[in-house]
Formats: sequence, C-alpha cells, structure tokens
Amino acid sequence: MDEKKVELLKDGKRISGRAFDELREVKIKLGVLDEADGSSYIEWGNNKVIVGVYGPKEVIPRHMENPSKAILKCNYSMVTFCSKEEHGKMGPNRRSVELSKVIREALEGIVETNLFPRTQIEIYMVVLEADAGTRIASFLGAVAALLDAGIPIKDIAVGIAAGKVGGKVVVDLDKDEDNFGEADFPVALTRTGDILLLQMDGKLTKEEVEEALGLIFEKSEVLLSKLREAVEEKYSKEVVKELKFSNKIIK
Amino acid sequence: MLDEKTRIVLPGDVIREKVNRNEAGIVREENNTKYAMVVGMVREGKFIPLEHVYVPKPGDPVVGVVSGERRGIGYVVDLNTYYPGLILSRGLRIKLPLSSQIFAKVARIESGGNIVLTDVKRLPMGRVVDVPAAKVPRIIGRDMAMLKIIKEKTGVDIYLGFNGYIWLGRRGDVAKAIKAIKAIVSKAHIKGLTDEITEMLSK
Repeated sequence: MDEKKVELLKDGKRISGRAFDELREVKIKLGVLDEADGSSYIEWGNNKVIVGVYGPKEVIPRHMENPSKAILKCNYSMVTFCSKEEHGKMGPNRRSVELSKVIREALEGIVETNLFPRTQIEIYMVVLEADAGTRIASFLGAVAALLDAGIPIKDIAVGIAAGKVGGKVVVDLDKDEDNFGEADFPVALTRTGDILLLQMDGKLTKEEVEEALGLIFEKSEVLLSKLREAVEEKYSKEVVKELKFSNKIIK
Repeated sequence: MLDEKTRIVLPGDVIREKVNRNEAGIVREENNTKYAMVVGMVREGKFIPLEHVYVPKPGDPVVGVVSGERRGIGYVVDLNTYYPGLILSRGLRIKLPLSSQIFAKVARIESGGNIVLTDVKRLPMGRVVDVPAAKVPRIIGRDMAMLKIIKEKTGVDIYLGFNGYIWLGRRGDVAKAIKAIKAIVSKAHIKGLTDEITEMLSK
C-alpha cells in the first residue's frame, strides 16, 4: 500500500488545533451500570468506552484458580460500528486479545490480588466509538470501575499516549496522527510514577523517549485530578438505586 | 451533598485518621504509614470506607440462603461473598431444606476458602435484600439507633448480616422498611440521616 503523505502540522500547530502538550477533553462517569459491581463510562475526545467490573467471585473453570491470589480476566472489545473502518464481528480477534492481555498485565500491578485467593475479578471493556487511544481510555475506565466496585487497589493509575508527529513529540494522538504519524507511545503509570504499561509503535530516539515521558508524567496529573473529580461527583449527587432481592437461589 | 468538613479519599492516599472498621481489604500499612486501598471519606477525624468488598472474619454475624447440601459434610450457604458458607452437620440439630434463610456467625475461614458458620438459626421465610457491605454499619447506626427506628416505626423483624444480606420478616410494613433501607443506602455519606429517616417513616 502506498504511504500517503499527510501534513499533520500546520503553522506549527496540530491539525486538530491543539498545542503539542494539550490533551483532548476527558469526561469520566462512575456507576453507570446497575447490575455490575462497579462500572464507568469514559469519553476521551471522540473515544467512548464503557466498563463493567464483577467480582471477586468463584473461578470458572475451576482449574484456572490460583491458591495464592485472585486472577484478573480482562475483556476488551470494539463494537462493530465503533469507527469508519471495517471491524467485523465483535468476538475475540487479534487486536482484542492483545489489548486484553496488556491491560490485564497493567492492572495486575495495582490490584491487591493477594487478598482474595482462589477468586476471579472480571473486567469488561467495550469501545463504543474509537478515535485512537482506546487502550489507555479503556485502562482509565477499568481503574475508575475498580474504584466504583470497591476492589482494593494499591494506587490510582492513568494511561496516556505520546507520539511523534511531523518530527515533533506530542501528547495524546488522535486518529490521523496515529495513522500517519511517525510513532505512537502509550504508557500507563501510577501516581508515584511506577510504569505499568509501555508499548511503542514506530521509531523514537533516546532523547525523544525522554521528552515523551516528561510530557506523559506532566499530563498524568491532569487525568489523576479528573479521576478524583469523578469520584467526588458520584458522592455529591443523590442517586437512588433499586435494591435487588437475592432470589437467585429461591426457586 | 458533601459538606466542607468531609474529604474524599482515593486508594493510595495517606491516612492519618482513625480507621473505624475492620481494616482487612480497606487499608494497607507500609513503613508505619497507612494507605487507603478503597474509596472512602474522612469526617471528624475518622476514615470511613464508601465502597469495599466484604472480607469475612470470625465472629461476624451473617445472613445467608442455603444453596445446597454436601452429603456427610453439611450445607452450602450463599453469603453474597466470593467463598461459599458452610454449615457442618456435625452437632447441628436442625434440618435446613434448600433455600431456607438462616442467621449465623462466622466461626472460621478454612484454608480452602470455605467460610464455616456456627450458632445457626433458621429464620422463617421472609425477604432477603442485598445491599453493599460498606453501607451496613450505616443501616445499624450509632448504638443501633437507625435499626431501632426502622423496627419501631414499621414493625418489621430485621436481621442484618455484615455480608450485605438483610432479612426482613413478613409482619409489619415491609414495603416501608425497604424504602427506608433504600434511602439509607443511597444517602449513606450524608450527615444527619437519622432525623431524615425518622421523618420519612413517621409520614
């Protein structure tokens, strides 16, 4: 396929009009699903992700259980209508299997799994609309849903992507910058600066990686405060939820 | 809804205040410093968790529903927890048919994960309601004030389990009691709730 030359920088600015270190608008909402133990809804620019958390509960199938800690089961999936590109059926495919794995490994760094041996915690992430950066948006959603579920975690964490566009290091790439830019560099990190996820697509020099990490560390503060605001917002509103009768066993 | 004296705490925040609950699954300690592991709030020098998973400990009163029988061992009980409850048939004098509702105390937690129950009392068929475990202390209230009000004003028999199951008897105004519990669950973080509930139930 021919590489199309797309001009991603105009008059020293990105085509979206954002500055090099400017994030897209992020909205976080907690407790959107009634049936789930914890849930969240994320709007990150045009990305829309809904996350549900269930557990800790009995491991199925039984042979997967770990006698010393809980296992995490992450499921990332994109709905068929999530973007203009062809996405086909919603079942597991190469992309969703990879992203489920990297998000699970990132979450294993913060969830206190040793408190619930022989159990599983299920995290379902569904991308309703995709516009680059869905893995970090899903990760942020998963952390928010874990907070909502009350599952013990060591520290709050966020994900942010940096990249290289038109020879410049920028933060939070959108679809065009992701497709036609030179590099994509998603990172998830805790408040204390522990890196939970780090992937790279494209090429960056050592100096550029340092610059990108600097931007990511700086901008993670913005997302961490957004997460705190979302939790405060949940408890500032009066939400009357229906109580459920535990008649799952009563026949 | 939150007043100025209340501060929301997120996991990883340092807690210098007294922790008002069983610390398992709520707080972790590292180098003599306490860190929160769940969302909570600090009010009047106390840390109160707002969401948490119920971690059973010996002595906790629980409400459960019998979900099965293990021949020669005892009964399996649904406790709304990640491990099943187990009533050993040795020394047990009552029969527990499937789906009977019980009130018991946690004796011990086996290494295999089973929660062994003791002091089992079979309750007459009533309603078992599921609430988040973090809200149970609020339904009890200080010196059981809230629970007493609900019982007095509605005339319903109530058994509360720390696991988040609440048993309600058939006598009295059950619908009103459920409405009150619902209100407490959704407004648990608000101050002066006892008066509001009293007013609501007096109508």
